[in-house]
Amino acid sequence: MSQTVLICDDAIFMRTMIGDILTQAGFQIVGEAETGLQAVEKYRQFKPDLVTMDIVMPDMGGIDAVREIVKEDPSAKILMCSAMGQQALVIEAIQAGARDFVVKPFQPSRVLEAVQRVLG
Amino acid sequence: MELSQYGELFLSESREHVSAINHLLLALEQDAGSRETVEGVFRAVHTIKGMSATMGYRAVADLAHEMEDLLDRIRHGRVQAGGEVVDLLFAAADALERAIEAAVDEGDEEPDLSKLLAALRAAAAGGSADASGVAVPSGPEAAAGASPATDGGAGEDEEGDEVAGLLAVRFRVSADSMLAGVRAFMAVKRAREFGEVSELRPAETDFQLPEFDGAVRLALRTDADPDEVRAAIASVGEIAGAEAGPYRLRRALPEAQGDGGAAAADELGTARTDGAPSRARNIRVDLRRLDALMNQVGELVIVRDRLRQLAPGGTPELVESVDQAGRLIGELQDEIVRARMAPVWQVFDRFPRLVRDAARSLGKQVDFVIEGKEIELDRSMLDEIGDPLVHLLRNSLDHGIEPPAERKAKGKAETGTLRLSASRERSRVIIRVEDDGRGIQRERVLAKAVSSGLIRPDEAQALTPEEVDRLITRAGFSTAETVTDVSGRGVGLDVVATRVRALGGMLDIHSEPGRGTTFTLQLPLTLAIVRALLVRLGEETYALPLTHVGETTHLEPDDVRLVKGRTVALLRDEVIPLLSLRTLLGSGGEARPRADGRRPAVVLEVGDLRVGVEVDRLMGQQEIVVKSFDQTAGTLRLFSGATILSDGRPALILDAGSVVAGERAAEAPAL
Amino acid sequence: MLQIDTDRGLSGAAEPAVALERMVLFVVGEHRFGVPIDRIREIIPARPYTPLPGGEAFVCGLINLRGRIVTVVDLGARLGLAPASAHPDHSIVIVEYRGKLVGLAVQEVARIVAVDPDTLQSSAETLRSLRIDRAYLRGVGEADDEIFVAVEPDEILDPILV
Repeated sequence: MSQTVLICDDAIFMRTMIGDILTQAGFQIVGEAETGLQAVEKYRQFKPDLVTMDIVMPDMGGIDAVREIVKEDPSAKILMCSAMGQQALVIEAIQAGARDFVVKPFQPSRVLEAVQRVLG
Repeated sequence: MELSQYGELFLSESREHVSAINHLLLALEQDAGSRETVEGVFRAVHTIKGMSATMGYRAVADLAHEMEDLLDRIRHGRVQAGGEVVDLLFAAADALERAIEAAVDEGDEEPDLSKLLAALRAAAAGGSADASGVAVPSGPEAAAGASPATDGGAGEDEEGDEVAGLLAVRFRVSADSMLAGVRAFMAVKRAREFGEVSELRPAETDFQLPEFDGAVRLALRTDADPDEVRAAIASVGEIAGAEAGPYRLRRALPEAQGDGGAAAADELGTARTDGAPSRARNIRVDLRRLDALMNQVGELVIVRDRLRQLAPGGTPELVESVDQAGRLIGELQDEIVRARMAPVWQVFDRFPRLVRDAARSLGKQVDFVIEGKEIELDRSMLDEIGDPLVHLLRNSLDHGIEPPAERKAKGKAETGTLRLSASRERSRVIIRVEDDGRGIQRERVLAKAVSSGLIRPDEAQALTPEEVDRLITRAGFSTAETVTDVSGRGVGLDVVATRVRALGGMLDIHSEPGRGTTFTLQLPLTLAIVRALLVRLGEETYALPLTHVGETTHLEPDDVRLVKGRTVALLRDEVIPLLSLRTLLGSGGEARPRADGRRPAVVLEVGDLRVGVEVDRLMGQQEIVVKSFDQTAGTLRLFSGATILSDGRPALILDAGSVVAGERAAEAPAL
Repeated sequence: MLQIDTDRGLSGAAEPAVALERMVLFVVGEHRFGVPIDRIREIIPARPYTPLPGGEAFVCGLINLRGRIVTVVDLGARLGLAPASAHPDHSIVIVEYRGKLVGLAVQEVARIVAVDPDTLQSSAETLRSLRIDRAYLRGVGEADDEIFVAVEPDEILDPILV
């Protein structure tokens, strides 16, 4: 059975792109979220094997969403999606419990390497 | 892990680093822009931090950490090393030294450093607030200077001792990592899962700086297998290389610049005056061990002398064996004396700071020059000369060097020069404290000496300039019109003179009005074993260190005269005062006159004063081991110690300075 | 020369609550003086003294104690009695005094006793006969019908040593 992924990003473009990379690699996209709140709710709903999380999202930001999710499920495997220049935020997310990060613009190979590390 | 055994090592090494910090801060004060200097301070503070954290000395580590933070900002150009900042760092260095001593001395309470820590933090933060306006050095050159890879951090020295339960870890984030800082952070976080991380270089907060080149090193307290740690760090991703191995204590490395240069300078009696102390490749030995060794050898020397007395009655083989053993003991003694030698910089190094502070509080400008800091002295002697030198330096700053305005008015450079130099002359070490100040003001000295009853007015008229100068070393003399906190209260140069004499040395003064004053200390190389002349008085033997023995003589009855009620001796063309040891010591009895009527005497030389001392018999020279004894209230203050003779009996060591002191006081100008 | 009455009063079986103090008794003239045993490092036979010029009459001088130089004070002379060191075969009691070692010359070492420090009397009669500065004395004790004076070594040595 392929592993399940929840993709959280407020930009459709990004969700699509990540979705494509992961689907091609054999993952099953079980849900998408546009806000942090949605991310928390959908995590509860789907209990996915992997979450990709944008840092800046409306309602609840990605970092707060990480905190919420990890609080409920410490074993949650979350991969942060960041832009350049967000070092401090990424560190904050890692401290909050995210397992790894990828930096936009995405390169498929890097995304997959990071996913492997998170799931490994 | 049992750490207490490292306490001594920690202490001695930390002291060296504190000393280096003080030095570099002085240099930084002169040249605030010196990146190299800041790096030096940073490294020293960093090393102390690492060591104290390893030892569990929280207060020291915390303070070092805050200092490191501030220094880090300075070296990255985000804080300017201005006067206030340097002052703060000086204060922090002092506190660091105290905290180190307190930490090692377990009984001591941890000092309260909260204010200082806050001040350091404020200074560091104050700089970062306006950092935007300050150019941050960048480019390969700057990066190399600040790079953690080049500045010898945690446990990289291959030759140090391993510390159990501590790993030295380093890794480098791949050059193509998008957010190298985050990657480094994750790797450190992973390391923390194994145990406590210390000595992290660069600091975690610096991972995000543009200069961060991806290289990280740290010390990890863990019992985990190094390979496991390495694998875990590598698994963080985007790590180009990770290493983990036993943490080794850093050893003092020989200075890169040729030791030959320093040695050559040593020969000339002048060594470099710059920079940090040079360090030899040494092991550290507890001084008490050396003292114990020295004592044992002292006993051996006594036994050797006894054997030598007994041997002539024995077989030739015995005589030869005793002779050989005697030579070997002598060589052993030389070796131990040499092992006890330490360079004078160990004492001199604290003076630049002291001179700076004192000059500042006196409103004077001084160039402080140190020469010959590589000259070596016995450790016990080094411990003793610190205070007298402090006193002489303060005296020169206080009374010698004039305030800038006065110097200018005299046509001198506004900044005075204070020179402290050490040199070796045969078996003595000469230390000079030299200033280019106003010189000894002889009229004032005379007036003061007369008013305080040291001399009579008519005597004052007859004194030579040199004799006037010497008055300032007399007990109870002080010309300071106001008591300053620099020269101290009620402590005069007489204390220095007494102390130096007690060390078997002497203090000379040379002064030229308007040109300056030079104090010269002549010291024996070691305190513990000295060559002495043994003299007999009745049944008792006394020892006179050769340092002050000019010659021995047998005076013909005609050579002893009475001049103006005082006994003098004619020695070739010279007339010198002649004392009787019997009278001096208040011993009863009469010397049994020799058949030829000649009277044995020793000529003592103290400074340029020569005094004859009549004894019953001259017993020859011998090496003696100087020991202390407990004086009783009534004991004459004429002895600097005692020794044990080859027959096992104690003998008192006469202090030549004290013996002639009465003569100096009574010195008749007519002579 | 030294006999230890280990049985006497040391077992504490009868009165376990009383902390007994062991004292070494010395003979000086017709008196006996006691010094707490824990202050005594060792007791050695007399040996030649190296005089300290200017030293007080009760200062015997210096001795060599295995390479260490020790100042010796005559306990008898110090307490205004006949000098103990006048006896050629007197003993020297090495006591610890403020981190130093100091010798006390005594005529003879009698024995060791265990006494209850609380039973030391300030017997005016005995003390008066001694004409000794009261500060030097702790009190008068009794052991086996023998009267002794417990002395304070520190008080005796304080004014002498510098």
